[in-house]
Amino acid sequence: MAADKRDTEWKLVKQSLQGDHSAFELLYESLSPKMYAVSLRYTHQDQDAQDVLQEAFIRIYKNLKQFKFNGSFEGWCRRIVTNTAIEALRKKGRMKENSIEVLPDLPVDPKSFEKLKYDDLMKLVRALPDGYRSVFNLYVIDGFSHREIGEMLGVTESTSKTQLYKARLALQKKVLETIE
Amino acid sequence: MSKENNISEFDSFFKQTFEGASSNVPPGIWEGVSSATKGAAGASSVSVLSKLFGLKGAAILGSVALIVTSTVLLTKESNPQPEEITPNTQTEIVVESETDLDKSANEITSIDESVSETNQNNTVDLAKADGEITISNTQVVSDIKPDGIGQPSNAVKDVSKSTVQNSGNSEPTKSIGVLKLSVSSESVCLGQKVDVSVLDGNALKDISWLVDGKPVVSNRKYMSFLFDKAGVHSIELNATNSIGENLTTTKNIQVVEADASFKVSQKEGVIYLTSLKPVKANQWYVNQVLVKENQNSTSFESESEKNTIVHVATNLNGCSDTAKQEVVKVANCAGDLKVPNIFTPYHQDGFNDDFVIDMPQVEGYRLTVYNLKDGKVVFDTESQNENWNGKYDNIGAMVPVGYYIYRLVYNCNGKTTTKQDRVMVSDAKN
Repeated sequence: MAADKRDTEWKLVKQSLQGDHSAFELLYESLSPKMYAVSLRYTHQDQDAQDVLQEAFIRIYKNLKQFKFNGSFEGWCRRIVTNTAIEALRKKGRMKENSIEVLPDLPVDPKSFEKLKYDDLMKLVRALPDGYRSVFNLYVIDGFSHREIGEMLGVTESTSKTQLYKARLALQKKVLETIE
Repeated sequence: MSKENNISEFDSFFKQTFEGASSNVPPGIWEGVSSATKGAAGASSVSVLSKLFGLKGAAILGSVALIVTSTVLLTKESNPQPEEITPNTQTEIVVESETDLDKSANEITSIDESVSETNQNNTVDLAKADGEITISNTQVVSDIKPDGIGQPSNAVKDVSKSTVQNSGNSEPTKSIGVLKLSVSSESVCLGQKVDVSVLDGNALKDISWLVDGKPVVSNRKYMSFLFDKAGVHSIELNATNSIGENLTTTKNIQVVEADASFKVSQKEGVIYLTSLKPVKANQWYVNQVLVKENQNSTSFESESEKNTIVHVATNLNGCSDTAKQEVVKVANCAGDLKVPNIFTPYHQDGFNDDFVIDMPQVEGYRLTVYNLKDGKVVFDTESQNENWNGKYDNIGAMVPVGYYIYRLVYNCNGKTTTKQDRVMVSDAKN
């Protein structure tokens, strides 16, 4: 099943490379919902998420030549969406938000937030300041290391760690507020 | 320790929720991607589909029917049999037109006749290609006398291997019983019937049918079944032959479902239609007028307030379905949006001095103008009453002559709508 999907995607990528624009449209049709979810997760405003998605797909098309056909095309696209989102946030210059309040250390019972659904969590993550949100997404959801995050965001490794710590605290606080 | 655990559980909770998640993509984004990437000439969707799935455009299944014959042969144990003839079940697939069904039945009958005329009760046909062996037990048809008229010329030649002599046997000639079940197709689309017939079933009695294990009240030899659910269904035939043996045979029928459902989205008076399943061939009808063929998605400018959309689609499995939706045109809250592509702020002569966007009052209005060269914002407002006069932020120096990109965002029926295009700042008079 997974191999079928990969074969289909690779086939469409090859056809797109040969200039078959409607093959690319089919790729867009099948991948855009997942990529939009990624884009939403990295942005605060819907409009920004849409801009990122659009820009990312333009980049995907223009960089198709660089796809190596040795892994998941979806994963490759996800990386481009992530990078596009990070760049957009950096361009906005709001990454270095310093108005970070000192948050108390909140113990959160893991069972208590299990009733939160995708939409709730999405809201919470999107409400985070850009810097927190970026690090949290990159590290926790998308599996980048602090070193990689540091390079992507132009900050030090330890800043990334601190930001992650603060992001978790902020999220925990929001989770508690939501549950109550 | 427990805090560490909490953190990792906390993390994995988010990770599991977000990983592989999907969100509904608002319309309009593809249009932007498309216009930015459509350099090379694109092929039509049909050719993509055909390349992708190895189809020749709008291929329609030919009129060739697949006749599948299942033959169950039972022999009477007390009757001496050559070793080759053993109880056997086999499937013979003959690709012929449906009308040939009778013909093949006749051929079988003719072999039977020839055998009975020579007073033999078994034939073995090994003449089939590919090493397939068809074994037919002879059924002595009552209205043919053993010393019948005429010579079995052709039919006997067809039986390449021996016919088995059984005349010296003390047993009289008997009808042993053959159960042959023929179905019009082993795979049908949902809504298509399956025709089933018992071939050569004259000597059979007590015919009964079971469909998916449930008895069907009928003793007919020809049946049509219509399945209301996709999936594999079984048709079982039971009968008793003339010497009282119970015979049974089963055919599995694959019922395949088609799906023409489609999604509708609207943007600025344009209705976009996209099939939810890939199609091999399809037609889009708007108010009974064919607007597009063989495209997974299409769009049209809605002229009437209410549109009846009908999508007739043949899915990749070759099955067809029709879906219908009534689509009420969403009021275009931007009205007749008019944005100039040029204005002349250098000459303040009262004509075309400002960049004026002509549209009704909307919510969530924001106009941003960028310099095409460096992407910097030269003007940005959330007030619909504020026009751009060609100066930086409306108060600085006049921007240089040239092209600028404007981006207009507003809420339309609860949806954020964006229009982006370029505008020229000209120093021409007017």
